[in-house]
Amino acid sequence: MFLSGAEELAVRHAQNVAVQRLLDRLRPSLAVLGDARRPTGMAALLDAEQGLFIAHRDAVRDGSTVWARMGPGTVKMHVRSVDARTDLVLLELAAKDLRLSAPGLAVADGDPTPGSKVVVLLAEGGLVGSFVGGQKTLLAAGRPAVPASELRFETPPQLVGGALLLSLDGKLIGTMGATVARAGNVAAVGIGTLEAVQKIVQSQNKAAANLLPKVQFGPAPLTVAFTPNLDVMRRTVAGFLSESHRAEYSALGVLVADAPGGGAVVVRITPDSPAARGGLRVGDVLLAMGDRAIARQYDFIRALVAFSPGEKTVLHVRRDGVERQVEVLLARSKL
Amino acid sequence: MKRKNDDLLRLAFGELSAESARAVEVQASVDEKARAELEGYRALRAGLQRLPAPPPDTLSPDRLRAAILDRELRARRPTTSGWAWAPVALATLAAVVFVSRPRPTAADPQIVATIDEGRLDASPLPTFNRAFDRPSEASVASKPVPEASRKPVHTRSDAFVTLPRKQVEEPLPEGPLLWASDTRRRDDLEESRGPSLPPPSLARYEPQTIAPPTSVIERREGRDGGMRLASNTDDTVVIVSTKRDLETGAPAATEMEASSVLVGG
Repeated sequence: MFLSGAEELAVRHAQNVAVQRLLDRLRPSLAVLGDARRPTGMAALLDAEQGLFIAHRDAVRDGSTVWARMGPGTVKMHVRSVDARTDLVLLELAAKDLRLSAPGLAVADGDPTPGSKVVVLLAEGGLVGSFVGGQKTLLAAGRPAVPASELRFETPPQLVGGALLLSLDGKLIGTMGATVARAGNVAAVGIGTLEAVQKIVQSQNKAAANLLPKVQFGPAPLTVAFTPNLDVMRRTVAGFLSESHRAEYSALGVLVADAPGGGAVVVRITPDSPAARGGLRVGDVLLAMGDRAIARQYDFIRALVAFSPGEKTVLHVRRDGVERQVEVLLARSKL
Repeated sequence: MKRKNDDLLRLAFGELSAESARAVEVQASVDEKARAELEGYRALRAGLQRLPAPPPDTLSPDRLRAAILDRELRARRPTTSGWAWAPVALATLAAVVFVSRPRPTAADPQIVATIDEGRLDASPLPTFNRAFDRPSEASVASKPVPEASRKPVHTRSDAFVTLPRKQVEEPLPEGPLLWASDTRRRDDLEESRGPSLPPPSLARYEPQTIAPPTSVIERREGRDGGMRLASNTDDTVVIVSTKRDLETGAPAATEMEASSVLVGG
């Protein structure tokens, strides 16, 4: 929908008002984490009775104890658990006789609608972005692959790494896991040559920058960010709230690649893993896991998140052109 | 050099006095690089002048309302006038510098916790001089919680106390954190909102714990080694590096259509 400059400003103002109202409503359930110099992030209350909070590892920095501001006071929290996939940490109030009267935040029931607004929870307030969705997969050295969703921000989101992500109705939907570096700021496009404009702006030539149009129109630079998807978030939060306070993920013990014609072909099998015990072989093509179809290797990762350790499931595989079923008992992932 | 570039730019945009303009023209005439620079700036000015004017700041309450509702926002109706975007208020809005992040309003202290009298912690704050580690079981073991006084106590109001400078700073451990197997029985199965839990018959079964293979990116022969920058399609992989995006503070990532990735689980 095309809007004039003033209308766009008004919409954004309304947006900011909505975010501010959300933060005001959630304030009793939030704690500002900090170090000696400055706030480092926000923690959100999960369980008032147990005094459990959730935050990103980046907000905790080093150490197993963190100080947080809650309402008018300062409290101490211990790091109780860390989830390797999401880098989320579970914090527990050190003072056991502290009674909290605020409600805990819950994970959203369903995936946000593509295009809906999301709020990045910063120590200074909230930043609004858009949920894009998609079927992304985060890969990092030495870490399990994590199903993820895409976010977009029009205003440059400075220092948002590790922030919690909320829907506009205050439900947890993810964290700011990673961002794609942008090419650089361009005040306007279509003026002479793009290279000339970029050259002027990047040279930090203030005289030149002042001569460029102030109103930005045309394509604007975007920041693309990624968050672990809701299945991962639900499992993490459920794990944090469980007796063990640890998120548990299932493991099959295979490395898979995309199979020609669809599915995920097994390339390696870990010895004595559920895959080995169940009779899977290298070369088998996974077509489905339970009721979850596997069209590509990343579907396998997404399907695995939906199952719990110790759960039995049936793998639909194709071997030598023949489709068959293999029953496996999923293990608990060490990672 | 910067000053020279400034002069060339000002000359191109007619910002110099006649005398200064003549001097700069003379300098540019003997310097090929400067001349090329000047031509570039003049072309830039010509391009700027050809640009269409930005759309007028017209206001349409209907369009505004539709746009706001479309973006899943609901504005509270003012008690006096209902849905009214007064032109004066909007004109004021247009003149306000837009701040990307709303500033938190000063909230009155809210009672979010109660605490026993005498438990005010006035001890100096500790320094963080240990690597990130898991707290010992003893330190987080639950113990009977005494009946707390309902009288709210106003604790220290300053948000952050200056901590002594950190003595030792150790980096966070790299790689995944490995957890020992949980040997406790799972006797209570609570309904989980998300993924399904093992059926009751497996409640006392302790699943095997394994380290699943992590993803491998295999470089193949060829110009792109099997990796191509993604064009924003589904099913792309996002390679997350250990380096931080300087602007966002989040781990820097690159989105790729990777055809030679092995994922494990």
